[in-house]
Amino acid sequence: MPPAPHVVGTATRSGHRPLLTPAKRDVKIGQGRETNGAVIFNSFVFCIFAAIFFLGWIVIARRSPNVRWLYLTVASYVFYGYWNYRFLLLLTFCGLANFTTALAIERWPDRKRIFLALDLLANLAPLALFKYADFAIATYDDLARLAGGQGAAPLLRLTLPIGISFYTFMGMSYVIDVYRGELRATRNVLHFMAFLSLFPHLVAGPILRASHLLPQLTVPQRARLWDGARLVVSGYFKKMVIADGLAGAVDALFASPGGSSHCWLAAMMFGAQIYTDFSGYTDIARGLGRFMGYDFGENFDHPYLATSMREFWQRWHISLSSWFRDYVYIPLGGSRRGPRRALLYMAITMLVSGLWHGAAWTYVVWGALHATFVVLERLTGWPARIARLPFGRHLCLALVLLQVLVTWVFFRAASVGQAGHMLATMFRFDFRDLRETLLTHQYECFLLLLLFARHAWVWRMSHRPRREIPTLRFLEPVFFGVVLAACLILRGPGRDFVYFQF
Amino acid sequence: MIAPELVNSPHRDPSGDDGPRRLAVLIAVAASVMTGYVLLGVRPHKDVRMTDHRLTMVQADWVDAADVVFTGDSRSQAAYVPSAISGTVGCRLLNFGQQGRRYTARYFAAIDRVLDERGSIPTIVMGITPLSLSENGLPYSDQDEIFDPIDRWTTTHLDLFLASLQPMTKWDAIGLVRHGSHRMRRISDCEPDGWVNIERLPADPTAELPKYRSDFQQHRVDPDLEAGLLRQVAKWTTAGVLVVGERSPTSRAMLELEDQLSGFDEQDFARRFRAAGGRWFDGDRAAFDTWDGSHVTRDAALSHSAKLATFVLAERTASALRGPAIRAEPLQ
Repeated sequence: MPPAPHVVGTATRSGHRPLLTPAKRDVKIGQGRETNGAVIFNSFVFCIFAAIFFLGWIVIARRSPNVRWLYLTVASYVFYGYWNYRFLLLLTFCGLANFTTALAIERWPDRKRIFLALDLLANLAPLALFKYADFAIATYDDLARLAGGQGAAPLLRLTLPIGISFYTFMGMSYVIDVYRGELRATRNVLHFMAFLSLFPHLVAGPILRASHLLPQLTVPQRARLWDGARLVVSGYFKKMVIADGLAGAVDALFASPGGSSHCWLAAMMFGAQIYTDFSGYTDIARGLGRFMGYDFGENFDHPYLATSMREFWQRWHISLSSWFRDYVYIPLGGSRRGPRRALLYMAITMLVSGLWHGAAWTYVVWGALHATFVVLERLTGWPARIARLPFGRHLCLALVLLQVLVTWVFFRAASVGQAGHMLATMFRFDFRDLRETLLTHQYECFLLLLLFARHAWVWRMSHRPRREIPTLRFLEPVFFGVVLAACLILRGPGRDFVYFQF
Repeated sequence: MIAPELVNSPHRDPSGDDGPRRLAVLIAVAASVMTGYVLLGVRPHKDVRMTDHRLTMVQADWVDAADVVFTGDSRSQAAYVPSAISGTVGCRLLNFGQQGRRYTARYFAAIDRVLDERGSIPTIVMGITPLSLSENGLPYSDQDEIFDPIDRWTTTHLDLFLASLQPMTKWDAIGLVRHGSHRMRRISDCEPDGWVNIERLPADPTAELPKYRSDFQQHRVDPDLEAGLLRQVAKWTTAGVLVVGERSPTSRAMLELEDQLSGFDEQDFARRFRAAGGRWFDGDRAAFDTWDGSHVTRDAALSHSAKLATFVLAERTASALRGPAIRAEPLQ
């Protein structure tokens, strides 16, 4: 009989007293919020949903645009409403606000600044209420305590609408593009709602640009079945086998961190888990898009092969980092006002990016650390210098990985205090418990090795000319068939996608 | 012939026109591998008769079904064999132990539902483990009692087939690599009376110890759960129910680990259990054989059940001699 399941994870995490929040709030605000019942890609309900949707799509795909958009919107509403139909109102409000504002900007260009401000308010207010209100209350509470006051203001504990950070950002970018004159506003509300609510990207991205997807939605696209199948299968493998296989161990390791090897393994496993979880989701979303003929673009490009922090951000969550570049960094001033200002704007952008990920100081510190590393890199130019040494690129890769792992500890830890304690333990380099740790987590270590091997292969092939081998092309469906079966046979305990909480 | 403007188009299928054929091959290969997985029984875990999930569904249908009810977590499931001792005790017995179960008010209410109060001496036998008195245990919930029609139908008709599609756990995968499929087996045989006969090959008397060590680092025995259980024992005994308790049989190593880490003081608990009106069975202090350090083997279960049956019978006879039970208050 398998051991009795027990609850581990955010709800039971205890640890060290956080720096800025009292011990009773030692769980990240907003984390572990209700996502039960969401139609996640690795659920049986989604399989049924997808089967019905694509059967209908065979008929609908060649019909008029209005019919297609209506079908996509209704299906996406069913997909989202299955989790919590009340939040369809919020999605609809967000969609209509962005749609009408874009039209108003085109109709009355002399008042476009006011319209843009109103639109940003309409998008950011729900985001602030649902995602950041409790964080603000808790922070105010802490400051009041520090000042000798009473504090103890009650938290709102609102249910966070899943995907809110993604669809509000998509909506805002659409309106900003229209404001800048880079995009013509669509006159058809169904067209816009199909873009905003398209179910593959609705709850966890990628954050698509209207300029990229709206034109694709306009004309019937040719379904790319094989391309989509490859992405879907590899996405499921990343999520169900690797990320879910690592999740239990990551929870346990962060719940009761031990010695140095324990903490290093925890950081490495979480680095692998969050990458495979999120890029797995993205791959499935992209694959589903290709089944419909839509191209969502690349969102992850083997980020752990980056040889500089700058390159890391060009490879990790590309749709988000380019969003922040285009709508935060450049409007702030970008590099137009000199290199010093550019560094400042970069740091601000990184901090905002940290806060986007979640309402907790751990995310702020995560953003601040990335900002620090990027700024240091810009100032010293160390990647270029080290790359000139023998095995310099390998060393750069290792150094970037080290920095990223350090930041992941803050991203995953329950509190800043716990992260600090873990990092102190990590850099004590006391590996007496290494053997026991590796033996206890041998399966997870195997998964890490698998991921490492994949990256090593990509690294090796990236330095060689590419040529197609006919035998491999023939064997490709067989290989992916085996991978799909492996997803079912070796799947870990089903979990929500990590990025649902953002 | 592809139109020149389409050659560099991002919307052109780079895999050419054979996408549907390749997708069909992919699905066929995946289906073949899965069929082989099921037919060859690659997964080391085998459910015989019914799965644990179906057993829970069967247990949810028990109403006034037994004169003697065994309760507790998976150790109780493995240790108490109703079919082997019903002759000795001479009444209806059911094992209402459940995997990972924690003693909560909801579970007590479910025990009341199973126990037939109309019998002369309704009896509850409580297997006590530190897990069942800590937050590591699973609380009894709607999920253990309410099954939607689809779940009920599939569990009734497709139970073992669906179980054969279950994935391998990481322990399965490691075991298969280490021991080979012919030597690696974990059989879970659930009987309709609630006994679960567990067999694990190769036996590993230390397998469960690390998990419990880690569990007790997070949650030790909860005094509130202990107090709640003792209050319920007092309530039952006042209501005329014979309540027998014992430390659920397990390996010596597990007992030592629990004594060190769980915060459970057996002697003190037994004293308070008796004070609440219960009878404490500590007549069998043998070192039990287990498959995994936690759950006893079939032989150990049969032998222990026989000794326990003798004790229960003696207590029931003594209770009968003291006169019919007087219900001071209705069972709650």
